[in-house]
Amino acid sequence: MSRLTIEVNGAKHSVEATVDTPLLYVLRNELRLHGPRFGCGLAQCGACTVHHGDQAIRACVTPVGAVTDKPLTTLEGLGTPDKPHPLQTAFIEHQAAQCGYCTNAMIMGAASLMKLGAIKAATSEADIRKLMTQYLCRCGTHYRILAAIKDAAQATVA
Amino acid sequence: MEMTITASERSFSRRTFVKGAGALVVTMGAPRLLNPRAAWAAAGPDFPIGPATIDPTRIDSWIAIGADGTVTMKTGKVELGQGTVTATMQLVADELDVPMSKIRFVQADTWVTPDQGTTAGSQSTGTQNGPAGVRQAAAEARLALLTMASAKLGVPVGSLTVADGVVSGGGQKVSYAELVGGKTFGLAQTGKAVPKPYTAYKVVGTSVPREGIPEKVFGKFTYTQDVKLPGMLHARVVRPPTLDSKLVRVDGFPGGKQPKDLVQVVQKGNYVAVVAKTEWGAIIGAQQLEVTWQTAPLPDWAGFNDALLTLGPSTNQVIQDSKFSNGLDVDAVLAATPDSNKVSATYKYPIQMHGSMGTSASTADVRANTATVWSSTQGIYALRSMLATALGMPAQNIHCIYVEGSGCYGQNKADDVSLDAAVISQMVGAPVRVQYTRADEHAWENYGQAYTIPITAAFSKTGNTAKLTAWRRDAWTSSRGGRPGPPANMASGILMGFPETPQAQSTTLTPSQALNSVDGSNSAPHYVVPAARLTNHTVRLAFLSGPLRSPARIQNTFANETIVDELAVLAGVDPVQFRLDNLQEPRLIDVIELTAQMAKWPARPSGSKIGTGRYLTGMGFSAMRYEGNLGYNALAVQVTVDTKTGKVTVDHAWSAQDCGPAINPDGQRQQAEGCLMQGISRSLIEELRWGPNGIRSRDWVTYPVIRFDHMPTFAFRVIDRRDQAAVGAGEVLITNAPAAIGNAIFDATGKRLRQVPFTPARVRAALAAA
Repeated sequence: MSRLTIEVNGAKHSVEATVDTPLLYVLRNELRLHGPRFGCGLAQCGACTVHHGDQAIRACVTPVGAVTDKPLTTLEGLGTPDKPHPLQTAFIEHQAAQCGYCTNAMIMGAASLMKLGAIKAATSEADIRKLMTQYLCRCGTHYRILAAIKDAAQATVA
Repeated sequence: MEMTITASERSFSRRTFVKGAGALVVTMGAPRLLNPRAAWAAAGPDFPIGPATIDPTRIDSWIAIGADGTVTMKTGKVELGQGTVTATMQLVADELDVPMSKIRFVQADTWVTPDQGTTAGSQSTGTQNGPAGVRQAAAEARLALLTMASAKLGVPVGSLTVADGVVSGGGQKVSYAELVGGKTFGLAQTGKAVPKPYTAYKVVGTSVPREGIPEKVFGKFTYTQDVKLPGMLHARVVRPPTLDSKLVRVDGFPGGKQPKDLVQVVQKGNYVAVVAKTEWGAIIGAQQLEVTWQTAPLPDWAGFNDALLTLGPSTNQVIQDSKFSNGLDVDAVLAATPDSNKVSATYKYPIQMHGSMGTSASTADVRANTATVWSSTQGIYALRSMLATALGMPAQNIHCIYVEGSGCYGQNKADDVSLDAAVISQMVGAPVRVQYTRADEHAWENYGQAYTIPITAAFSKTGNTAKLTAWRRDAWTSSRGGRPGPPANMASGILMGFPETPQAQSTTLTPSQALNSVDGSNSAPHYVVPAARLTNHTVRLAFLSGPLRSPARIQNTFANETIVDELAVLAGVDPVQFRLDNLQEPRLIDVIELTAQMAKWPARPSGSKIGTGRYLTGMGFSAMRYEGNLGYNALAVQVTVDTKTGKVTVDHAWSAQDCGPAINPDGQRQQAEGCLMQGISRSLIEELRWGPNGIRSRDWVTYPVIRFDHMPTFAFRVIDRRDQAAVGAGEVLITNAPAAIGNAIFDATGKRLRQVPFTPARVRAALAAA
């Protein structure tokens, strides 16, 4: 059991956990942040995606002890109804959720790709699809999600 | 976000129970058959037991008007991520003439909402089941409000108009809030209120944005997985290798060293679970606990579809036989038909899974005599009934509250995990949350059933027109368990030792359906066939089964719409023309013709223009009416087959659909998109795999689903029929996917695939065959 300090959504939190506890359980159960979700626990689906710096990571397999070095961002910290991230605006505009369980994966995954410059205004639909293939959706909302990401990429100065 | 727990739910004590029991004549352990209104009246803050039933004949059971004029709709149907609740709110908005912004909803809660059965298939629209549903109740509420306004304003009902919840007439106005706001109607439904026709609706028919999407996008939505209670413990189930394995002993933790945070290991029959103070503690505890099992082996995987016919005993039913209607003996007709006019083939469909993205979770707080359970079940009352059996508690003492979970596409493990949470909570005497591991979800589902369907069908040809003459079809499937009630309808209930419902006895050979009727399972072709015999055979095997998006219908339609394609090939007739020549149902004909037009369907016999080179393209068609009259869809696809690797890609899809009035057109389109993607996935890649010692499909690598790299272009059109009943759109298009894709593979290659999924290995084998 250790006391660790992690920075999440701009605030520092002191949490008590064993260093090998996956970040996901700390975020969900200690910090009550439910944007990141448990989907597989195997880094296969992306439902637990958060940003470590600008990099998307899978919180379900990342030990909390490994992420104390850089600020973390969850879906809650990406944007708010008053100050939405362009992806959040576009997801609402395109109604890009059915059950919405993968919405965190899609928005946080695409947002990281945008931050890192992999998705830009000029990125082709085929390339966006290739980049997003690592994130799973079971409802078949792919058409809406893709349209929303394209819109958000256009709305953001590349 | 946490669910708020009301004081009354938390403050139960033996004393208040006895006090209430005295008044209500309670027999412990037996269901209490109470007058619901008396029970509700007696259930004060210190007696936290809800009403036995929510009386569906009362207006107040469905509609409440707040002091601020908001309208609360209480629906026994639930939002499964498909927009059902939003669509139902649109009906209420139109019936009451209030804007959408003033409508709130409460969904499936055994203390609040009427029993509307299961939210499933095409019964998912809030207008159905129950008896007459929210739409009728809203019409009754409007009539009651107009009657009140008439008395208050001294203006006859016929001279009153309503806009934005304000009734006007004779130069005067009174709002709903002023009439009944914050109070109950206290009225029975009269049965005399007539809902507006769909043609008069203004909000219905528009693409109102879906409830909940902003919350989901900002991470503020509360899923079942997010329900947390004070003092809650976490549990994980420790499963045997296979369903029928027996527990030999719980060996304990390695070196006798208990993991941190462990509270208890619970055991009930062959059921073992680990309970811990923290979620990670429960996960680690379940991983480390050593248990010895006696493994009951699973049947052979490779030959499973063939074995369905021999692994009996089976339940056998003749469902249609022309001998009993027009006297035609299908065997005699087929025997007299030359081989040039008949096809005999067997179609095979695998076991598939729901594969929810989020693993199922539930939270339960079981006390000495009451229980509260938060669940994403599709049937809140059926769940309550199952928990009553499992907990040995009267159903009325159990409060089941629906909370939306991950999309389920049928009976995923939402019911099972609520059984886990409730039983474990009872055993440890504390609130318990259970969320499954990915392997729990993948390997322990009530799966979509495997089917093996041999069909022999024949036609006669006059000029260029081929008419079906005979259809003999036998369907073999395996069924075990299902939806709640009985706890042993699902894995945890079986492991806990609850008794399974015995397999049904073989029935008599009298057909149960009229000739050429299309049943709820799409068993029969929707074509006119004079001589037919259809039978169903069900065996019970090691796998649990439960409804999966288009249950039985996707399997039957794959067989029916593939053999029709084969018959058209043999007849030398274009497959779309062949269908039209044998159909009478006008709504089905309309979606077929529109789809063919959208796809610029190239009328020619299928497989008559096979290209050259490594990549071959072809077009395929499938059409059906869902469950007889619950939605009409036709689907055309164009595929590319890589003849070297055997990989099939769907490049383009076109579809027209008729689900009656389109309550929310964009919602219907979104369901069609989802059906297409999931339909391609199930047609091309999804198949449960297992070995003798357990399920091998345990994650997204061993049971993959479709991803962004495989998305065809998609053209979709809705035929909006406002003179018809509204039906659900969630399972319609998907039913056509396997046959349309398989038929397109034939058109491209001249090779017929009769086993789903059309994997590269199966395609290569078909291409290599003579």
